[in-house]
Amino acid sequence: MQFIGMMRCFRGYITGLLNLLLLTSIVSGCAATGGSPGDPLEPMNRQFFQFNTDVDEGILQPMAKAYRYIMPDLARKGISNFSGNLSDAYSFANNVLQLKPTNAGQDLIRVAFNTAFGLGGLIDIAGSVGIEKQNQDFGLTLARWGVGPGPYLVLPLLGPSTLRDSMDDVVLLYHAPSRYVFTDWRARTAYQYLSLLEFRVQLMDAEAALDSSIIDRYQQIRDMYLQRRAYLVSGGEVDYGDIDDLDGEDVNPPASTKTGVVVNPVVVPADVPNTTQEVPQKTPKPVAGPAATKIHIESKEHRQPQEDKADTHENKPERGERGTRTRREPVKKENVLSVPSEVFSIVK
Amino acid sequence: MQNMMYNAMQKIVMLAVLMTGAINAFAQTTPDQIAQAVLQDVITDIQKASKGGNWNQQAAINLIEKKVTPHFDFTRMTSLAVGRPWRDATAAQKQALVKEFHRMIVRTYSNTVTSYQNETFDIRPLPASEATKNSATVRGQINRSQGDPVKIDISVVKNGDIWKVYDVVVAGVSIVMNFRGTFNTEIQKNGIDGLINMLADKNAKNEDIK
Repeated sequence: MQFIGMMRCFRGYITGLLNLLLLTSIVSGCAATGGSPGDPLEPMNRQFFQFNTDVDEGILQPMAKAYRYIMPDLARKGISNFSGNLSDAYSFANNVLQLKPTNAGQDLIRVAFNTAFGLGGLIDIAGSVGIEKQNQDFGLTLARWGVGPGPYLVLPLLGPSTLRDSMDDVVLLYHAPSRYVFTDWRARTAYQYLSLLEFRVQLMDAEAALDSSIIDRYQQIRDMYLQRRAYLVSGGEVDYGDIDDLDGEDVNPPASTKTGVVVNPVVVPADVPNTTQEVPQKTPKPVAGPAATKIHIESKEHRQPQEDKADTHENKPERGERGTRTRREPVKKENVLSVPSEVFSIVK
Repeated sequence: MQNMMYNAMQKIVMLAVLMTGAINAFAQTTPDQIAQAVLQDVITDIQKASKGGNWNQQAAINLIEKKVTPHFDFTRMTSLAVGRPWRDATAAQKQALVKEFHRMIVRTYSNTVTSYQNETFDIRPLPASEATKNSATVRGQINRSQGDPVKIDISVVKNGDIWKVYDVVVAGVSIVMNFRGTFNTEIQKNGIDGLINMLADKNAKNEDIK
């Protein structure tokens, strides 16, 4: 949630930080600091990630556990719904900026209903009659207007982000809905702490469940964050890359051995732009069109085996394109975007 | 008067129940119906088991292996999780990868299932245009007692006449694609056998903890 209460004294802190990061990213782009193409700032990010983990384990988690122990379930539900109501107002503003009247209307109805009939937002009446939450934020608004994600960032205290998504924190710094609701800063700070703790508690079960599949926590949280944002931006599509090449049985194994793809899958012919497994996100959109953005199961049937055999140099660039995370057309499916907004950013 | 209305209501409900039954019997089973049925079945079993007091992680794993994983296409899931290097793996390596990935996914799910807290599922009916294709995404949500509902997308593909799940996307995070990054890092470092060993170690450790 917004850690704004504490951040108030650091006006311009984030903007300054962003300038710094921008600078670092340019410098490190030239000097190769060891980050992968998808995460050029990895060394710095890992340090902030460690810092955040320490703060989380040392301060936030114990507080969240105490909060869970003390708070009656009903009060927790109220706090959760109340901050949900504020985030609906924020989502409304973003849907307006994205020129999505239907979705904005849905947000507006939620806010109006829950505020008027749900005791000022303590009860989510609109949700119980099936008007879904949308949780649009400023990062998604920028994406709607074609802004790419930029490098992945781990912000101190605020958690996983990208250069684009971090603009959301800048907007919240000045225009967090709670600023308009609570004019008294003490009440606002109290609310912010409560909603932060509630948010943290809600993450605990998910974390416990994930425990048995954590291999590298930094990398997995990064991938989760980026996947989730790509999913939200695309309106509910998952990018599987070159799915049609993966089924060994279908691809006709001898063909791939013959063409020499096996020898070293990372080496790419010189005429092909850098499009191996970890494709940089800002590659210009290739010609492939809908084929590149759709999930490729259907295309498996359409692709003839001989096409695989035919010519590596014809074939390979195409694979690269398919694997590329292309920036998609502005969202068409309007209602799929309603996943809780901050689920995987740890201290947001 | 009230009695009459009550009787009428009863008849309508009966009729509705009969009709849905009839429709179900005639309609071809679509993936959304299967998903709904499986989830309902599993939830009923969990509730029964936890009432009986013998609900633990092993019971959860048994339940998943019995009722859920038969609907999963683990080969496809593993190939997606591994990505490009999958094509270079030998048949034996593929088999080992599938086995370890299967173990890990079941273990991860069993944590969620063990800590079941009366969540309910809403599965949206699949648009008719999608049910006729060979692949589909069943969309729905998990309603929790605390916090907002969580979106869940189940990606299915048709093998012959049978629908198989090859991915579950929870809140925009694919349980399959989430591993591609870490798997590829490991493969680059220690090769495919390195990945197999690492997964085997990880699974063995998880099973020790219990």
